[in-house]
Amino acid sequence: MTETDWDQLLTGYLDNELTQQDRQRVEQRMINEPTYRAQFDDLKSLQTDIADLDFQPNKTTQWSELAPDVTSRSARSLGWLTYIASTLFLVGYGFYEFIIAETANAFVKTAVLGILLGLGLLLISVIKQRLVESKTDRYKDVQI
Amino acid sequence: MPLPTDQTINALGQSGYALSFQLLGNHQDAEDMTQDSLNTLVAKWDTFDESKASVKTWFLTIVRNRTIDYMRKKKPQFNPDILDQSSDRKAETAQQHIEASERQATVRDAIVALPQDQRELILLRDYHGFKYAEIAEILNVPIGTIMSRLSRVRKQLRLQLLDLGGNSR
Repeated sequence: MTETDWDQLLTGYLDNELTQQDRQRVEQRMINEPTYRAQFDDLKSLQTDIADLDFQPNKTTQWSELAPDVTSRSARSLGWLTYIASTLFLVGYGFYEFIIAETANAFVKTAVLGILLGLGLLLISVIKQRLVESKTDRYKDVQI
Repeated sequence: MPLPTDQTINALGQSGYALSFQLLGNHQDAEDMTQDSLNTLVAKWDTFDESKASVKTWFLTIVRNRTIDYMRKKKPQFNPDILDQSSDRKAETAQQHIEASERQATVRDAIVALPQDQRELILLRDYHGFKYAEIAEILNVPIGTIMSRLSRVRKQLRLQLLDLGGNSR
């Protein structure tokens, strides 16, 4: 075994991640070689020091108050759905009434149609751009 | 499966905040990452499979990935003064207190100076107390690489502290 292998075993021993056989090998070497034992003591000391590290205090301790509950999440989704559906219905109905109305002339109807068509095309282009970005996003494989 | 209790969410929030803070070195950003991650936890709760990982492992995976993603996009400046030494450390005398503080400061500086991937590895193990399998899950790396990587980081830290005389008890 190389020294690197022994170093790794010592780390595994420190973290209690070794098999019984490897634990015995490490313990035997610590008995036979005081420097190996000293190395273990240093690592153990280091581990304790890291576990004792603290942070500057964080004022936010009630994380549960910040986390959304199921009710508010469902209500938000339902709210958006109702809002979008109602808006689309109103716009569609208003446009239909406008088109069949006899009071507006063909020029105005064509202009309004153009505005709606333009908005529709802009919306499609934005959606398409978002789709392309989502497919080429370098971070899309980051798991959440 | 019912959502975690408020007590569990508070504990998860603290752990997630600690990890994000250790990576970012910024309180506000760490709070934002933690809150976003809690939102994700609630939103994706139906997909959580407790047979694959504990809630804490799953949540810290979310926090870690969100924080790394944020760091890649925003490239925030890391604050080297993030880790403060423990105030409740037991010390018998004023001299011991001073020595303990100095040692803690040395360890803190050495940890902060580590590259991000090494820092998160050693903190996940020694600060958060995760097992190798859980660390592999959080970092999305093979479990077989954890011991060797940890060994390298610890060896580097040990030599660094020996040079500075900061690890002598």
